[in-house]
Amino acid sequence: MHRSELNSPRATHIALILAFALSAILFAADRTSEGFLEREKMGIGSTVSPILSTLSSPIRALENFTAQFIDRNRAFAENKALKEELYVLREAKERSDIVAMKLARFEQILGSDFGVDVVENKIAARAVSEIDGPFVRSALINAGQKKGVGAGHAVMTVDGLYGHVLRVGANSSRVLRLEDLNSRLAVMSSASGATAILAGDNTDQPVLTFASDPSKWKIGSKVITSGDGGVLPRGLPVGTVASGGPQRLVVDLNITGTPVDWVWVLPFTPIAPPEADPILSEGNPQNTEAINANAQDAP
Amino acid sequence: MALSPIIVGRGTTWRGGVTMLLLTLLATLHVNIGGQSIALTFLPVIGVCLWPRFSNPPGSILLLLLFGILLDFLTFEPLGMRSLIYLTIFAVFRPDLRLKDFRFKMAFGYWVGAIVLSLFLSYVLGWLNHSLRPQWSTLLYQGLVATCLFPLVYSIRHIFKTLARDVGQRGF
Repeated sequence: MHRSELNSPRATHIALILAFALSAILFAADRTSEGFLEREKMGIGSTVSPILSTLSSPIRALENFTAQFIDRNRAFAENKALKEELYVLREAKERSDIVAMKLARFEQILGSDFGVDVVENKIAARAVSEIDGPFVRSALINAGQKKGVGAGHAVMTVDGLYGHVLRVGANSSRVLRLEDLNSRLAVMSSASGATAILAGDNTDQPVLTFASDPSKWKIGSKVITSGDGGVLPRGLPVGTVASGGPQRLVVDLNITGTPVDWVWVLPFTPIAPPEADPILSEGNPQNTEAINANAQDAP
Repeated sequence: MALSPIIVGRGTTWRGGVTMLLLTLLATLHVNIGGQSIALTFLPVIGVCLWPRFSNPPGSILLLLLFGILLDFLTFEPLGMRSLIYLTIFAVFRPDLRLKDFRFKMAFGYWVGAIVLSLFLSYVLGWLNHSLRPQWSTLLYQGLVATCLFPLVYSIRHIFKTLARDVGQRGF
């Protein structure tokens, strides 16, 4: 085909129709099949994440500058409040140490160790791209499988829970934020222990649904992860309960309004389902060995 | 949609491509200034609206398709949504066929039409994909952010065009 033929209205019409058809096919395929081209999406994400990281550097610097400016403006009042909080916390820490000591002693007596869910190893990463759209609330972080990130891991900022890892690439991961329409998180009130599901609705304030006892949810109560389902550790700070209208409770997320730059991925190992953790039986040779080993260890 | 005879491309398609690439990458970034989050999702629509004159139409269509898919890949939004929006804007407005070079008022008029159309398409396509009506307020806010940035992108483009023209006139 000659160049003039390529530029003819006929060629333009054909190109437009083909392009529309291809887009429509992709759109329909994406709607009907779950996880359509997911691997390609993660591959492109991994490739582009270093470029986005470089591009976002000046933006993050600007964000940090404005955040510092705002912090300095309220430094005096904040310092006073922090000092007061410090006095209270010192006393609370002393009490906490005593309780921890007692608990350790009780555990020793009972011969059990329940441990704590708090993850000690954290993987630091940068949120290189954050999508705040009407359909999706997600982020791309520049740490992937090579650094030990896995699907389902909790992602935190210094302020609180940010979301969980949805897809993992070699060098990048896609994080589903708490505000996303598809985000569902088991939470509890730190004051009353009442549980609920925090459901994202693509707004800055996710809704509390399926509350175990709605009367126990008070406005202003701290919301933490409940650990139900064994997917995320218990006790991760999420936000504060707020009123979202009559008979509707929403959560003011701790991370709302703060620039998100560095995040931490918590590589929490979920509790294994019963299928993967079979009951010991004498018929099973592996289990018999385990029983024998336990018997030898016993005094 | 009337298609007038095409002026043969003089190698300006790549300029549109480079602009779209930069705007697409910027569209995936997120800015939070003083607690106010600014999403730049509709920024590449400016690139479609200001698409260079005399560009190769099939090449332009191919680039718009690819950049639409790229943005959908990067933002995890419904695949094909952005390319459908870009292609519709291109087909309706045909920025490559305009007879005169853009003045700001004319370009802004194009832009208002393009952003209204893209917001409407985003709403309908989002609704189709998620079976749930998207929030108008979020869409409008993003459209407003892109509208605020339009003069900036237009000025940068104008500066580059003036520099390129001056270099040509000076015989460099």
